[in-house]
Amino acid sequence: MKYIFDLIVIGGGHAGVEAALVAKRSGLHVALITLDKTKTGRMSCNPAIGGIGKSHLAKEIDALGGYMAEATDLAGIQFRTLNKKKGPAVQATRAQTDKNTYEKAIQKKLSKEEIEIFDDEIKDFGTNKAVIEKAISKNNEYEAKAFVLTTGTFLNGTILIGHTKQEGGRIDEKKATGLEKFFEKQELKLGRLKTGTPPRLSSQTINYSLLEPQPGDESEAYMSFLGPKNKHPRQTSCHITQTNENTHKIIEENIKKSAMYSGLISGVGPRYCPSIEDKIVRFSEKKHHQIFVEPEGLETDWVYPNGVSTSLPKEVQEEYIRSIKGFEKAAILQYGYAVEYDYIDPRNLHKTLATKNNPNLFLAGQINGTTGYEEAGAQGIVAGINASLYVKNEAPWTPQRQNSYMGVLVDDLTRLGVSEPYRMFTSRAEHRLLLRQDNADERMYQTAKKLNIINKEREDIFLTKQNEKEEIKKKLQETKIMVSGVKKTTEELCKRNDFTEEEIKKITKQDGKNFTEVYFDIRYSGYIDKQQRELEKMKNLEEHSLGLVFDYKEVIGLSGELQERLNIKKPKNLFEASNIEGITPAALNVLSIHLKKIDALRAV
Amino acid sequence: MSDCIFALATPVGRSAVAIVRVSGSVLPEKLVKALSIKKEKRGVFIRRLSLGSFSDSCLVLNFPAPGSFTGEHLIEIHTHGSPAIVGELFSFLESLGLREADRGEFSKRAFLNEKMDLSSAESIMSGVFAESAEELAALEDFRSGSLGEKIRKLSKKIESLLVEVESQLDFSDEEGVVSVGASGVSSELSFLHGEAVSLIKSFSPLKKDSLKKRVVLSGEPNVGKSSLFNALLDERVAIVSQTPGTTRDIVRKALFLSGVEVSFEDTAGVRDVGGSKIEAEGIKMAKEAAASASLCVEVFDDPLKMSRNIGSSLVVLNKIDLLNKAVSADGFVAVSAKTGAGLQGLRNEILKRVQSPVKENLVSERIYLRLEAASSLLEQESVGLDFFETTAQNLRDCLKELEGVYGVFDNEVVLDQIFNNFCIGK
Ligand SMILES: Cc1cc2nc3c(=O)[nH]c(=O)nc-3n(C[C@H](O)[C@H](O)[C@H](O)COP(=O)(O)OP(=O)(O)OC[C@H]3O[C@@H](n4cnc5c(N)ncnc54)[C@H](O)[C@@H]3O)c2cc1C
Repeated sequence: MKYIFDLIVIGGGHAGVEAALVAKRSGLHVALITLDKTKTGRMSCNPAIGGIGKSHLAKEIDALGGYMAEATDLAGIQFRTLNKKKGPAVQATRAQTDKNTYEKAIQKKLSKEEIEIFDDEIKDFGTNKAVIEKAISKNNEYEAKAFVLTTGTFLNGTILIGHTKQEGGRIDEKKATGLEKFFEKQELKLGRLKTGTPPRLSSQTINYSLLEPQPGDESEAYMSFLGPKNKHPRQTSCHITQTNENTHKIIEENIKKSAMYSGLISGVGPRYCPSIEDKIVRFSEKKHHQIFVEPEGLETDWVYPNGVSTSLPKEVQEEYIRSIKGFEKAAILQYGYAVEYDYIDPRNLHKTLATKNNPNLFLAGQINGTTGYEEAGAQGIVAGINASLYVKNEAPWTPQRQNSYMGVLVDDLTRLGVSEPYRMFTSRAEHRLLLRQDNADERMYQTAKKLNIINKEREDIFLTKQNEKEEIKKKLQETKIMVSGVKKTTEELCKRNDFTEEEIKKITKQDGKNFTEVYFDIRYSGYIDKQQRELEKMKNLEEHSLGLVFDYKEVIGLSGELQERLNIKKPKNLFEASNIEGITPAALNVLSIHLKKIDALRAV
Repeated sequence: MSDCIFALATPVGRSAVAIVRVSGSVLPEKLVKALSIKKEKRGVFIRRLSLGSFSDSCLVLNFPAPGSFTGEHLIEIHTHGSPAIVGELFSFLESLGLREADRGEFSKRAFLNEKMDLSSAESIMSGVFAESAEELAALEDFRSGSLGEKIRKLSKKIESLLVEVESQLDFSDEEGVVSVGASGVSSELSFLHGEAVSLIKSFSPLKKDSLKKRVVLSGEPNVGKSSLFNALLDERVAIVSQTPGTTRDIVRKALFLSGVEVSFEDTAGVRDVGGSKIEAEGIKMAKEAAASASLCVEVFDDPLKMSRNIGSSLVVLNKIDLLNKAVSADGFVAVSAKTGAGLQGLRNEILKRVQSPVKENLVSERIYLRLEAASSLLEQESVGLDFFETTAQNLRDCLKELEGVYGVFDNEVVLDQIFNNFCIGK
């Protein structure tokens, strides 16, 4: 069969879903092609969305009209705010989700938006010069003007448990093949990465009376800016247990049997998501490792023991699991495993996530070397937006480091590439104080509005909140009190350390829920101004490409030493040059004048 | 749009007038008000400015854009040339939100606004940069010196504290990360601040000015001082100080000799004194000028009259083209300003004499200021919910300030250390 669409998304994971939805919001005729549509939106691993750095991404997706946060609110069975005592820029919402409810919510949304979904496996692309004309499967051809490819862990996926190796992108799911040949033809470098997941246990067989409960703290918290519109299901508790010396002994004795240590795996795994084998080998002095016992849902007895991901053989998994307090009689419903898969060096991509070789092929998600649902979703929306703009023949959009975590993500990936599966941390954002989860709506609004990808409901909620914030700010400016004999506005007090937020709230008789946000807007305004100034400076410098300067020996006025240093480092633009040792403002002036000269010569 | 900058257009130090130039694509309203001028009205105004403890009457020249040297709105403020008054004027301008220009920035703006052609701009820039060449050498020296080492060590400690603070932010939900209280972080901060302060006390900034060498030309009238001076300044370099469009404020002239700015001063004015006193007066003035100068060049045009009147001076015999026999230049330099003979040798000799070894406990002014900024970033109060995240920001900014010495700060370093030190990952 032959099908024709405006835009085709391949892969129904978290990247693919957001890409398809935003293309639809952009008014295009979209199809989603995935290996098994009943598994669309599935959480491959941890049944949770959000966390530090990650809820920041989820809320940015939401502010662009994406669906991840809404689905989380509909499926969240436990909400917690992390870093409550560390300040608003690093505070994060984490939701434990009912896996089944989550994927059902996603699937319902896709069908409500009338996105056509095909069960199929794309194996190749048909091209006309650099432009991709169709995606090809065994029996079908799908024509479109742009394509978003999100194969996740499926491209040449291999699943490893102990010494057994089997093909597949996720347990009990097949792998995807064929596309690697297409990439080879395009001379796109493929690499190999690895990740792992713990065994799943049956809640019926866990002795909860021995475990410490960990209840949620924020059933009123919402991931989406739409808030209570998406009602949370019943809230539940997680539990905590830990490994012990016996567990460690079992693992140590069997370490050679782990796929990770037997030499079966060549891909690099994430350092922040080590297997239990890794933790025991690398931190042998630690006698215990904590395990969070997380329910995968309200109606299921599947339990996710967070902290013991493994690729040990099945019988060893059983042995070490049962050595853990509360798990003495635990039945394993699915064994832990490692998965190795192909990814594409993201330095082959533009910041729009279009490949440099094929202008209408966009890549998003784990295929770009990242890990995590939020990272995938964020790329999905960036790729989806740009693919749609491409179809409509409009100028591309790239998120910026200074206004979003999406910007940090895309910039890091395309500029630096990856050496391990990439996940977001707030420390990756140099403008962290500006990029709070509570102001993601404010940061993304202009873009969302311009691209026309948010509906009126969302916009009204946003504008109401902005009005409320304005009111609060006005009140803070108008209220004055005497502080050690001098009249001060309460706005000024927000910046001082001798008044707390609570005190100022009382003085101004405010209880609006947006007070905290306004308070920190004011409190951080100094940093924000400073960063803004730096950004202005940087933007200016970044805009000046040094691409045409081939030999710095030609630049009159630079010392020989600097000429050599620049010839070695080959900075892309003045900003990169400014970071080179020994480059003074005067040297930068010399460079910018040289650029002008090149411009002048080129104009002739 | 460019911001508003200012710079001293006359030499630093005591002089009859000091001229401070201000340029910007928009002038701050406050400045216009303070000077009570009409923005669009070109002209000269006499204004009395209260500058700190002084009140000085100034000449204010307003050149609205685009009819100015930079092509932007440009104001010149002429005050009495006392460093104290100039200093107050600077603070006054800074208080209005202006900033001191980087070297070459005025010329750059002039160039970008097509007020100056490329070759002029390039030669200005080469001069400007050459000036910093010695500064750079000072910095290199400092980097490899013991002070550089101390600062590197301090930077490492700051980095470790940053790693500790960051681990509390991104990994607070990790069991493997030991939690640190605000009081621990704040006592480490004050310890580091103490170290930074005592370090700063142990050295002083190398003033850009101390790199400028003043060379005084002395000699009787008509020995050819000014033609020698002009000959030493070849055309290309002449532009260095003679900022196009303004010749009136150039009193001294500067020449760049291999990266060292050498300014020449003519000891003029002796002609007025009558009779035999001429010589004595000339020598007296030359001595005075030489006292504060890096080098005094005594110029003669008659081999028979040559003598060294000032202990360390360089003796030059000019007009050798007029001599009918060759002179053996022993203890002096023989040149002809007219034909150019011997000029390169003279340049080399001057350079050799004025170049000074870089002193050990000096650090470039820019780095010094950065150290001060870094130090003040370590001075933090440990209160407030946001203590951790603002501290992380300040420590990052602090390392950024120290970048010149410490190497470029890289985010990955922090993550690497966290992963190496802690068992992360659930
Ligand atoms: C075992 C395992 C452990 C993990 N552990 C963690 C963890 O600890 N922490 C964490 O943050 N993240 C973890 N993840 C990663 C997280 O699940 C992914 O990052 C995220 O789901 C990636 O989203 P995606 O959209 O890129 O791809 P996926 O969610 O993998 O979706 C890919 C989709 O593409 C489809 N597809 C693939 N190839 C084709 C093709 N040729 N034709 C048609 N359809 C195709 C598949 O059917 C699938 O629907 C783990 C994943 C796995 C599998």
